[in-house]
Amino acid sequence: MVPLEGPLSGSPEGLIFDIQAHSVHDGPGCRTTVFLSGCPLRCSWCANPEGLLPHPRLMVRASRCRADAYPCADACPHGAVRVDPAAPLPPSFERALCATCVEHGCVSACAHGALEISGRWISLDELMKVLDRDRDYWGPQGGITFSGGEPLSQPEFLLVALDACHRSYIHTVIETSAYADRDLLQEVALRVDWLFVDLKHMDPTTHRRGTGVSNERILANLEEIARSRIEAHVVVRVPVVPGFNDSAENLGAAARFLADLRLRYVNLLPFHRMAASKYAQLGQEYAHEDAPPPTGDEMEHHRRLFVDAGLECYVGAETPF
Amino acid sequence: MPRKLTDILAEADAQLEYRSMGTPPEEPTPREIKKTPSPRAQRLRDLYFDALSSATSEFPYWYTRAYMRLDNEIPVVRRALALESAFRHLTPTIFPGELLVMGKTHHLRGSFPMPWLSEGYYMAAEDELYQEALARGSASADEVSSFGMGGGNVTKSFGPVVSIAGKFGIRKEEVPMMLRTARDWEGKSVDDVGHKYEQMTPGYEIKESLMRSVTCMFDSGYTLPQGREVINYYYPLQFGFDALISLAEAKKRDVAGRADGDGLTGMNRLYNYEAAVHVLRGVQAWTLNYAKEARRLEAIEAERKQRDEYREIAECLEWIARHPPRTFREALQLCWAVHVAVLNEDAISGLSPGRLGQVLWPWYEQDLEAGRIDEEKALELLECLRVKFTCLDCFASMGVVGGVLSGNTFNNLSLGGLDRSGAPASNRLEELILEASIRCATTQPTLTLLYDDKLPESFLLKAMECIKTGTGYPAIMNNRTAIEFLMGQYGPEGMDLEEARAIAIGGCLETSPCSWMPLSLNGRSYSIPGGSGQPTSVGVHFLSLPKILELVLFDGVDQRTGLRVFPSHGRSLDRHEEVFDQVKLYFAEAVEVLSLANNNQHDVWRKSNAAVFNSLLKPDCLDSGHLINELGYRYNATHNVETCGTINLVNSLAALKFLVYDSSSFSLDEIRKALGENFGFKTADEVGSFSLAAQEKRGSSTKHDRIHLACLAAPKYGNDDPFVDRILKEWEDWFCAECRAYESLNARPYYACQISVSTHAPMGAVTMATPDGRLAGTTFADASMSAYAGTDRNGPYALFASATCWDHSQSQNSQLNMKIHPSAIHGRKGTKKLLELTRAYMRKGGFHIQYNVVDSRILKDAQEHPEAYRDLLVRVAGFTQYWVEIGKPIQDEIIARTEYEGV
Repeated sequence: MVPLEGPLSGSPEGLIFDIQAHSVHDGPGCRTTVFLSGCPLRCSWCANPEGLLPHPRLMVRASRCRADAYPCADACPHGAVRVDPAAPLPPSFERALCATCVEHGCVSACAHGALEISGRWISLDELMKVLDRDRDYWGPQGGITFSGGEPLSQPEFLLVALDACHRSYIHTVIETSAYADRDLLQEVALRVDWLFVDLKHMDPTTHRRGTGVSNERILANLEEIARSRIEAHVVVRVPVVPGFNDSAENLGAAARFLADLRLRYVNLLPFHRMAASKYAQLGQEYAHEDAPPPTGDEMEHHRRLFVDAGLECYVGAETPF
Repeated sequence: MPRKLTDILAEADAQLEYRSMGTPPEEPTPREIKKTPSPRAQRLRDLYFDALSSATSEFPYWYTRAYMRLDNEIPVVRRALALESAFRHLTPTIFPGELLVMGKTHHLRGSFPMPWLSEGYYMAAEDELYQEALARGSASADEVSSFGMGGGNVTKSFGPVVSIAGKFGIRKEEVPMMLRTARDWEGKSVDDVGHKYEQMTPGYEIKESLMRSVTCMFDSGYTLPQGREVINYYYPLQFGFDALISLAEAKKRDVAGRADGDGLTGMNRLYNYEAAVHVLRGVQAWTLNYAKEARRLEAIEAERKQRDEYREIAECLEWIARHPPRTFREALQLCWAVHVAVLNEDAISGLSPGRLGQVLWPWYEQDLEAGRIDEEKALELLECLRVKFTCLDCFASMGVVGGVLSGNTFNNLSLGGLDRSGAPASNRLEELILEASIRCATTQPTLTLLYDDKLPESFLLKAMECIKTGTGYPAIMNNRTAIEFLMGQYGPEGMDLEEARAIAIGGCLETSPCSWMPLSLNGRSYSIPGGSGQPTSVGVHFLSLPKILELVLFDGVDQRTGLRVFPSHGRSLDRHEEVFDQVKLYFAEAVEVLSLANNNQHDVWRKSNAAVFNSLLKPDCLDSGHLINELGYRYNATHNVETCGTINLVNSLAALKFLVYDSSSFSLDEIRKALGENFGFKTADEVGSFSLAAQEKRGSSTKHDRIHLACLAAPKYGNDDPFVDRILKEWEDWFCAECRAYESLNARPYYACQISVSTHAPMGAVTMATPDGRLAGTTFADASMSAYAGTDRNGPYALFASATCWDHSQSQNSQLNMKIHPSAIHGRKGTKKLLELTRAYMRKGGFHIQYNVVDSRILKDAQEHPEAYRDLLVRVAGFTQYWVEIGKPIQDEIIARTEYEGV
């Protein structure tokens, strides 16, 4: 039900690049996950590269492009489509121009469905309608998960959405990098039932190399979360990226850090290459094209480091939640 | 120092008061959800809190005066003219701040007697009329029933106010008029005429003994002949009174002088339409009198805002007295006027507004679209409606209104369910009704959620939030089970699945047949639900099952009065099967004689006193020209057999089987002796409490301790124990099938109804100790599926498993009341847990569940300091009532119920 208190009209809108129903790996039960666009980090292994920027992104599916004509170029008022009959399909797009485009005439012009816009503005009303539909199917455990991108990069929308969910008895989970303003993170933590916080590397320099930002703010925020007595269930997530953060030294340091803070629940997420095609569609390089995911044995080895530090550590989707 | 039962149990390392799943927090926990009404509704509710239940003789005076002048007029027209006169003469009063106006009488709260139904019971106890009523058993229940002493009940005379019927105050100067009017009906009332003829039914002497021993209480034929049904607002809403009068006039021309193939009742149609015209004119004039009063107040009101409000009231009434409503407010006001008019036509408890949020949806939707209303305005109106409903009182005997109903009037509003096409029927207006019921908590209308798995989660959670206010509403009824029951009961009368989906609850939890009506508003078409059946809970009421077991064990003699109720059965009772069989035989004999007498009473009622206004509202009376008495309603298979004390019977049969027949620990004579001596305890009256835990031993003897503890420790219902549950299932299967073997006056089969309302107190009060360890005079287990207090010890799922060991759709209902500590369902997670608990029971086929969310310690404090708890609401059994207006036996029983600390 739409809550009785708190008007929905006039609320800020949110930019999202996906809503996934029956999402089973983003918190307890069967859930609906909403992906908010925009992220202050640039992790080289990012699984959702289409959600990094705070505006809609053009995705080009090369396999669907046909060479009979170039209606996309005709439809583009910005001259961003560079047609070179000699070059292989698809035509190249001047991405800087695309970023400023609001019409996206090229998308509807393409009869083959090779072009797609990732990211659209959604009103709170519309979001609540989706949730009101989905919640009939969640079961007792389910709820909404705000993911991204970095959901905290759209604080106005996020906070009113969390409040609306709270009033409607909807279980809320957030997945955050914790690279955010301390007070904002507290505000959010007070409003959610579950909090997934990423911890990517313990060393500031290496962290900057892999993600584009230092980890100081993230570590401070984790300390703050541990100190404050929020009711939310906190799970720290460590993406295990081979060659970046999977050394025993780093993972051991992370385990000690979390054990000291008494942040008990850890979820190790093995790196995967499922995002590779998305990089291609965005016209971006993918740094991990050939990197193999960690093996099961390796993950078990990493898990032991955390268990030995007295933590409850789970790998991938094999969690009790 | 007398030994208390609790001491004896403590010595034996046993306990009685039971808190399931943990202990409550140290401090008493208040209810979590508490909101306040709009200032307007709050002022009106405060007026109600300060008002006393008042009776007047205005309506009966004018009714009687017109009626007595019309000797030899056709009965239905005579009654209609009497009703018209009474409606035309009612004094209209409007209270400052009201948006919705009109009431039963000129008093803020109260009612009036209808001596044409029964005149003896409200006379003074020393009056010969009353003594005569007592002799025939019709007042026996009055003697053992009581009202709560507080709130608006006038249980004692004071100053210029005389207390009558144990509940109402009437001004001294009105008493001679009231008595004079009553005397006019002596020998002529439905009660008196019915009594003459019911004596001719075979086995009548058994019927009298059943009433005198309170094996049965409540003759519905003359006490509350209507109600426990869903009203239908459709015709006035769609056509308006002017058009309905024209329609009836046109129909008169069509049918006058024509039998149209029906030599028996064909000619009656003319008189029925004539009667309809008169009653409609009376109701129209009554409405216009309120409009005049509003105009009068407008003319003298100095304050501008209030003056404008009077004008708006007048405009609204002037319109709806003649035309179909245009706005939500007009539609709501019209529904209310129609509702009160039906209540003034007959003695009624349980006239349910049905699915009001769906009935009014067309106006609300169109007002909203046109910007004529917003949600806050709608909420204010809905809150005012709650206060209006709460001001209703029902005037009947103390045995009925106190002993059965605890003063409640059971205007049950249903929410949810499915629409005609099978889609969820809940809407935003129903959410506002829930919100208004949270903000403006009052007893009426009580709410029922027609639970269906298809209903939106958000809607269901809103209903759970409402339950957490502690008011106990909405109760939850299983929509699918109800549809199955309706199809079985009304299929032979032509009900199909679409129609069955129109279901709503009449009275406290009577599954009632309803229909979809085609409504058109500003060119848009809607299908709105409304009642289309006769009163669905008249018949054999209520049969005390533990009392029947007592009669079996003592060869047909009532142990309290020494009265022989049934002929001696002469059986040795040396096998469990023999005891069970004799219970069934006595029960069947009781239903046989009571159904015959009941058929006769209702036949007398319908011959001289048939409903005209209520009839013309229901499909298909206006079409066919036949009223309720000529089976003009679409569904007429509406008579039932109601029982009380099922679980004490089942536990007692289990205890006998366990202790006497299986293990031979005691002989039946030993048990009988212990029961006869009440296990060595004082009577509940002597102790002054009606709950088991408070009982005290007589003297310091330990006599009967061993046998009593064994009886208490025997297997009990509510623990998923097949030993007991098999007995319950055997009883239910037999009872539900047996009822259908009896024929109602409508020549349709009776059916089973299993709600205790408040009868478990007065019926417990007259029943000796039972083999399950219950002591004499103490209250029975409430409802029909609730465990006996403190005996369900394996948690809620075990209780649910026991309750659903039989198919509930064989019965019109079942009833399970659960007391939950507020801390067990605290917070948002608690609300969701409450829904999961409810859903679990519904999925297993449970028909009904309702919750009392309260800390027992607060109730105990309220018993000691009633003055501090004027607005405390509790759920009893199918209804919500102010704590201070409930009799002590029921208060004790609620306190004693097992308290669930976790779910």
